[in-house]
Amino acid sequence: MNILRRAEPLELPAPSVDLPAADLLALVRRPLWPRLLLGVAVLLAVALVALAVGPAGIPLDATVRILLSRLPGVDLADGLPRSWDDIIWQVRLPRVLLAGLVGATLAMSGATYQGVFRNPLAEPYLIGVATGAALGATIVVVSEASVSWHGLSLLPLAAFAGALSAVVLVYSVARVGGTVPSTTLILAGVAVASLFTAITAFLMLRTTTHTLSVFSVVLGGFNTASWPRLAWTLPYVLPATVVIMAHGRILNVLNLDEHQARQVGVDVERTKLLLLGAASLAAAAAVSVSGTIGFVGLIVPHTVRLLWGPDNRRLLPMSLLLGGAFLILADLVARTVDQPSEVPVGIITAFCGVPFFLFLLRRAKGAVY
Amino acid sequence: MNLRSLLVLFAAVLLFAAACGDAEPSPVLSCRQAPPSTQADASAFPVTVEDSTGDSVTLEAPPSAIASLSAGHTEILYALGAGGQVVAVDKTSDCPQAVSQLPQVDAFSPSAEAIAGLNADLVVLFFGPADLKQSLEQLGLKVLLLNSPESVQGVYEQVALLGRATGHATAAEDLVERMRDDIERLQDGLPDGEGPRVFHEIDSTYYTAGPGSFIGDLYSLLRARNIADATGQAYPQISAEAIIQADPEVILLADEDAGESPATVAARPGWGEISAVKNARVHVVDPDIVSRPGPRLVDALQTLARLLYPEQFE
Repeated sequence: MNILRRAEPLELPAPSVDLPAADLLALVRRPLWPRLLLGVAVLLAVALVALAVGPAGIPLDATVRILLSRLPGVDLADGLPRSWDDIIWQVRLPRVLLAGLVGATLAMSGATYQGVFRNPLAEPYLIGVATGAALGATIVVVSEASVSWHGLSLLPLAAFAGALSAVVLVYSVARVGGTVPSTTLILAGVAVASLFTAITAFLMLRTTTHTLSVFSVVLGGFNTASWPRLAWTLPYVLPATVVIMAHGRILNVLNLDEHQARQVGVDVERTKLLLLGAASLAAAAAVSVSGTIGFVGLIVPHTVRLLWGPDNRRLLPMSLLLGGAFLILADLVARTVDQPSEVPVGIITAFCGVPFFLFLLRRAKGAVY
Repeated sequence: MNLRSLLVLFAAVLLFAAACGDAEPSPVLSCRQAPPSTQADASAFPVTVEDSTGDSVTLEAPPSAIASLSAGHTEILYALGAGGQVVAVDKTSDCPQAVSQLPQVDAFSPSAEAIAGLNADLVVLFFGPADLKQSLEQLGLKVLLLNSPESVQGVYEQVALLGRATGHATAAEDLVERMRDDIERLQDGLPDGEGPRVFHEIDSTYYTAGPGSFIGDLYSLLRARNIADATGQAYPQISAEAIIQADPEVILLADEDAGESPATVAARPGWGEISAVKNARVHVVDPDIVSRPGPRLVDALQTLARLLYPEQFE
């Protein structure tokens, strides 16, 4: 957030503007499928490795037998401890899937925010999702309310509600008549984030017994991942993904110039509202089950841009795939590097992601970026 | 109610009281009834003690107005008979109940001004945010910064230190000896060999207490095999699958106020096969008692021993 405040030009021209028309055409014409397949392959490979490795030290052949034994007519898990079956199916698999889902969601939302705001510093937490979620969760933790409601843990519900209220508050503050100027929106987002952070810190100081629980939400992690949590995020993430993926071309037009976009018949305000709404909803659902994991939403889309260029039609799906793969990998490191202890995954994403990103940035200096 | 049932009830109450009296040695510190204060012994003064920061603090005379800013230190002072010298406590100090009459300050976001306004002649802190100690010393106050002890031995040392600093050195020696004896007696009653595997949960995302923590030391005194020992860290967060793999025989929940209970633990995905869950040996413990480094750690050990070795206490 501080970086944002220091950044002077809030509306940088999109990178694509500087490209000669011929280059742009070449970029657009290059087919998407090979890259998409590569992304899917990377995601699958990372997920399989993450499923096979963990602090419980289950041998690889046992893991394979446990996984295959769920197929009808296959029974290979005889003689293996029941707890191993639980670890693979109830703990590790939902954890890997949830990390992938959250990573994909954050990266996709980040790419969307960057496109809508035409600001390379935009990320999924720009207009209050993270601080809202942290505040919502903190209120539940501090109030010692009963933690479950209709079988669902109250914590993600409260985090989700907090995230959405922050976004709605920021949006309604920033609205000027029928339009929402991006600069006002970002400023309102920074202001509301400061306010919410202050309230969270105050509540944390008032209660001394629950600081670890609040800490877990703020740093993020997947140690309590489960199938119900996965199921709870999907109804928000899936429709948002469909909406965002369908808007790659319109985002490209928006990126050039809002005036130009209006001239070619795009309802700029409605599109911005729709895209920001979808991205925020998905990010809120992700944050509510994982806590506020940083860097993924900022770094993954930029990495994709550095590797394959700024066309949103490629950027959005590739961010989705690589974001999922990146967070699965980061979570794998988080649970194995100091096993059986956990390292907060947010520390890993920064620790591994940032040097790689700096390397790319250095390599690309003077080129496309 | 007829006479016979009244008699039966009466007998039951008597039996119950007798049973309690037998099992429990009288506690080192009763919260309901503050121990009587005794006169501080001024003959040893001036006294110089060294606090956790390594600073030597010299007291010319027994302090008569102590501000005790942690629950553990408050309990130690009262158990020493120095309760009459305590004029203010922090908000977490709740034992003995008499301290609720005293002015309270917040130990976690303390204000030097509020503490200076208490007119104390000795301030006992357990952690020092933002140079609080220096600010208080500049105001002319004597300050002892005593970090939260990480072992029972550390508690003994602080008892002895506070005894010397307040003019209750003999009472401190007696208290430490009594605690040692009580713990030794308790240990003698434990079965030989290694105890059960235990997981002590302090937070619903599986933060726990390991070696180098006060709680970890309690478990090692009770010869329980703490599954957090494998981490080598004082307050680690353990992976869910590592807990399932370690298969604790007893799970103790210090996070009931966060909504956890034996039922919520049993409902966690993959936890159903854990021995503690299958054998209904998931128990709630009071976090204030098991994590408070003071004289009542003896009570904490007794409580934990009952949960770890129920067959010994039937």
